[in-house]
Amino acid sequence: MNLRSAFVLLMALPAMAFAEEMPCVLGPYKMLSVNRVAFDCARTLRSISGTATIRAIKSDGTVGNVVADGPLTLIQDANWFTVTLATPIAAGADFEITLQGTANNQAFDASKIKVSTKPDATISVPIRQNPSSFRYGRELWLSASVEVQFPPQLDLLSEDAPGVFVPHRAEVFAERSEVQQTGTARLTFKEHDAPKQLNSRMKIDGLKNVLGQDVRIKLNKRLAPASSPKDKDSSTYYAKLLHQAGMNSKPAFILDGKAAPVFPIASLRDIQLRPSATSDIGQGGAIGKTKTNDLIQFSFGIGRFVRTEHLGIVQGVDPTAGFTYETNYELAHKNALLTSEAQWLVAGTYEPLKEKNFVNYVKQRNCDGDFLRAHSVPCDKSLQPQDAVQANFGYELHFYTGIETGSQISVETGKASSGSSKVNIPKYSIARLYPKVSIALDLTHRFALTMSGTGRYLFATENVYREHDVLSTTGGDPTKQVYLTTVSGFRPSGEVGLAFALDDAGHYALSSAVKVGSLPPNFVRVATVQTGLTVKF
Amino acid sequence: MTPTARTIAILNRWCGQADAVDRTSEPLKELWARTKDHHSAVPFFDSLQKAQGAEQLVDALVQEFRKEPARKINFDLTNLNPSGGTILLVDDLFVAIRQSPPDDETEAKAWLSPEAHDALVSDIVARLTPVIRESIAANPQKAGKDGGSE
Repeated sequence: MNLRSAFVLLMALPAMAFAEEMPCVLGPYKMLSVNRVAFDCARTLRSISGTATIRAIKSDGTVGNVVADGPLTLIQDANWFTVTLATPIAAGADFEITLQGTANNQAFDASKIKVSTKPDATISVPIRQNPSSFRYGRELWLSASVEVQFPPQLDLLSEDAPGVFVPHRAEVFAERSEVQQTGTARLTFKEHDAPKQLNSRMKIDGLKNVLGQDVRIKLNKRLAPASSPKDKDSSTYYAKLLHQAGMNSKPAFILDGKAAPVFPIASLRDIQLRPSATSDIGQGGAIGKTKTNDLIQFSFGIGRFVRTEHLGIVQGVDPTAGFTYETNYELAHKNALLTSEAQWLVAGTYEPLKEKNFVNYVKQRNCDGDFLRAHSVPCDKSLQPQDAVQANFGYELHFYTGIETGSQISVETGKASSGSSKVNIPKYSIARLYPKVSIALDLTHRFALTMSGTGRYLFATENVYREHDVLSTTGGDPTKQVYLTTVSGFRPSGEVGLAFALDDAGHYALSSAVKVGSLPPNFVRVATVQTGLTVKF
Repeated sequence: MTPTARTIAILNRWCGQADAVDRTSEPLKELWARTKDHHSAVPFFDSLQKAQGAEQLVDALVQEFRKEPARKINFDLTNLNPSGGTILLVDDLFVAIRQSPPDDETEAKAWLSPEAHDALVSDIVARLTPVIRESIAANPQKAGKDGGSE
């Protein structure tokens, strides 16, 4: 060290001795324009002065030369400060900013922070979102670090089925009363048009930021951890299929399926058209000798979700009324029904794994001290939902009530499963009432235990047919003979199932279900176990 | 005052201590405990029945944001529950206030902060200046006529 260097060091010593760490926890930042960036100090900031120097970060991660610099300025009314750059910085790049100067009248050491001008945005539910409520999806918040030029309306595309992005139109409200609101906007959807699967991937087309870039929702950022409907009742599309064929044997199959898409009519105050097709049948081979459910229904209904949060425990009612054609595999019943079913959404009955995982995600990202200590995890502001602490137990309960009234529209013939025996089934009236409960328990993210029970009561006597074995007088195999009988009164049915998910979200699963009781239209009492591959969305 | 500045003022009054809010990543529960010598020291949120601290805060926010420029506070006491709630930090409260809609959203749409206004103006100037310069350079005679300098 020469004499001159020693002198410079000596002169700098007082300043170095008193310099402290910057009194800010630098984290969130906002790019207000091409040459102005705002930073959140996250501590009380009464004054700040100094300079910011910006260097580009190269593709190999090394820091390059200075590309711009500018002075630090305090924003009144907030703990934020801005840097106004002499030259605009490039879009779509990463930078390292070095801050030096004085804050709260105290010189601070050089602090570094990385910023990006890439056009990434995130979508989130409102922070007040209560995980056990049914308010999900109607209000979402878009947030980006770079200011966005928001239009009054925006189409958000959510991947409602694999590879299928469905547009949902949002009203946009972008308030700019303070710098923290830069790049953020509230997206409000109509009741019928809210994204149904918040764990899906999302896209936005045609939205630009102030750097002229197309804003994109980072594809690896999900709004909520991946999940799927747990049972047939809560699925839009559901199929459980088993098939077996062999020499000298009839092919056997089981099809337990449902397709119930929803078509909203915007001009009719959120009313939805709700067609559906449901089957729960099994025929052929060994299945032919075992009694199984035997129901096929085609329905066309209209419905509208009604919020009733103001009434207390029942937060919403979702009624559907319409027409149903009901038959069985042999087409031995042809029932025309006026049907009405209502789902009752009750507070505190919806705590599935995905909700718990989402709360864990929010708490870890927000550095909740109790949560971090309890789970021995670090605070992580850049945490993604799928990387959050996973819960191991969740539950959801669904309550329904329904009415089915109508009649068999023609005289039909019931035939034996083998042989020529048959019987005429006269027309009859139908008047049924039922409550239905379905419960789904998440046991880790791989296993789900589902239970459902329907307590159907038949006010009118309905004609049904049964078959029994008649021993041959010539000593051969017994033959099947059918006969007419009636059913009325209480005819319950239930199902308990266990599913093992094959994918993270649980759309594909190996499942086994025990089915007991009797279902319309023929009300055969069954006690059967069905195992197969289930696909549900 | 901005919504965040009003929220900080409310928090300081709630704690009974000027400049109580120093670190915005601090949990509200810890802020309440840290300043217990300056307020009633009632429980912040032990249970729904023992949540006087959180209740006082929500009440104070509702009262404050009834004044102009007003906002409809759209969260409640249960959101502040340290176990299960989602508004846990001072920062969370800022977000919750910003997500509570202004009473008159139409008016708010046209309301820019001084910083945002300055940024907008400088952005427009930065974008238009080269265009105007190019235009003048391309046709100085017309520019002179339009500018009325002849």
